Amino acid sequence: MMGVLPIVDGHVTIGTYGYVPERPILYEYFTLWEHIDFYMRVGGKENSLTNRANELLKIFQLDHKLHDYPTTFSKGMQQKVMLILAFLDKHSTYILDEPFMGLDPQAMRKLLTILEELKAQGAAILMSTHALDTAEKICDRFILIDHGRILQQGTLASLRLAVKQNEASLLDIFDTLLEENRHD
Amino acid sequence: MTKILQHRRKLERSQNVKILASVIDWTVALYVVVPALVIGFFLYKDFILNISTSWIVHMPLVLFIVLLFIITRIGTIRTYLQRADRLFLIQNRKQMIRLKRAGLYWTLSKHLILLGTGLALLSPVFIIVHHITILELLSLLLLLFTTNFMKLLFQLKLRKWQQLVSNMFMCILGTVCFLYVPIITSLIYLILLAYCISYYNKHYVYSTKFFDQQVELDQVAFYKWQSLLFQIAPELRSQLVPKLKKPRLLWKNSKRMFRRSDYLIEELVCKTMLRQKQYLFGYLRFLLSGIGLIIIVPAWAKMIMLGILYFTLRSMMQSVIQQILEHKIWSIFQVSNEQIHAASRRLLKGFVDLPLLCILIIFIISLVI
Repeated sequence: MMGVLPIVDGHVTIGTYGYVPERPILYEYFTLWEHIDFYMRVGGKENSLTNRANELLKIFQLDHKLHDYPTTFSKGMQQKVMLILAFLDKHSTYILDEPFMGLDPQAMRKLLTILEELKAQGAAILMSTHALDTAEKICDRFILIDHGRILQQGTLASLRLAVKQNEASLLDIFDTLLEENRHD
Repeated sequence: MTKILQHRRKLERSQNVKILASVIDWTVALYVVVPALVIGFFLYKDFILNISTSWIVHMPLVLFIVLLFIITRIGTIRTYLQRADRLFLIQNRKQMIRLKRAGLYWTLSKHLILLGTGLALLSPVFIIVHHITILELLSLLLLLFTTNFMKLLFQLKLRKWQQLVSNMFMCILGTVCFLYVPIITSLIYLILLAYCISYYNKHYVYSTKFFDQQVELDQVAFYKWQSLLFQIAPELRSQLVPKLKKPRLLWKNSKRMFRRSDYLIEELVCKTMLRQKQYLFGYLRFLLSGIGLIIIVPAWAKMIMLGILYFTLRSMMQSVIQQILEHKIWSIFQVSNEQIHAASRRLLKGFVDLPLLCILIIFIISLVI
């Protein structure tokens, strides 16, 4: 826990969490509303979550596609379905794997707003992304990984300190670390 | 060369075993195949013991023989050739000839054994009902075998309409020969068979003229069981995705199936069954063919059939539920194991126990009345 000894084995137990997979996972035989309805029923919270579902459907402009199969949607729309399901219920943890993939600029802006709101509410968000400029704006801590190996981790300030560049962006830091890593 | 033949036959066998194993697990084998064999034996025994009163007595011998000539066929003369042989094996003529010849004799031996077994099983009908001697039966075997080989040669050499005419002629000729001069014509047919074999050897074994045609035919024979299985149960091909944008019939406006909101997994499985036609038709096919069998078998076999239907339907539904539960969507829908177990139990009750209980009640009522 203190980071003195390296972690070699163990389990992390967390409760329910909001999850956005890298590629949309949808059920071929369920309509959009059936996906949402099923998700609400799992936790037995359909009464409290219906308003939130309608709100998210409006935000992501999918409220006119309720009775369609999401497997026939475009990539961006499928990603929006994943985001709706992930943000439907309030969780203490969110795992987002490339959440910006396939999103149009408007939807991306709405997602950033939601993430800011969740952060303000104290939720932990673990996000994996290649969009470093976007990540720089919203994330508090970063783990920079190349080919499965951690290059550096910490806040933006500590990363800048590590590469000795006071004004560097996250992308600049990543580039510098990659170069250093290659020379090593 | 026999090594190549053995290797290719082994490859084919292992492929067929794999396909069979994918549909028949040990439970199906135990509850279906073994009882089916036992029931089959007793049904056959019943049929033989009561042959003088059975329906088959009323069937004229001529019709019986014509039917045999029409329905029996060799299929394909196996060559065990593969497409890659055009590059390598074709350069070694001797080896290629040996492989094709071995394929020919293997196919003919297999057909002779199958035909012989079929006639042996039918022999009580010929001997008891139609008073045919063993020698005459053997001549029938030879006539059928030669005719089937000739039909196969027609298939390779003639056009469709020519094949039809020639096959009909051979069937009629074989029937007439068997009914009037079976022993003498057997000798003529034996000579004909020898000629056909030498003809096939000359044109299809020693020659490479029909190489591509032979490869295509052999590939079809190689995948015969696989194709048959997919024809019977297309749901095994893959989980097909609905082509429509939205459901057209029943619960099309995403309405719930069940009033109880905790019946969510049940709803998912039921809607999947409705919207994935292969699942629905597979289930109905199983259920209806089982009911059909229960109706036609003798009274003593009805209860056994009901038991078999129960276990097969249960295995089938379990595999459908398992397939649905293996979907990646469950990483998004985080349901507990308890919810899954409870739902599976209820689904099996609804899809298996309930319909079979209804059948049992109808069966008991029909016995009482």
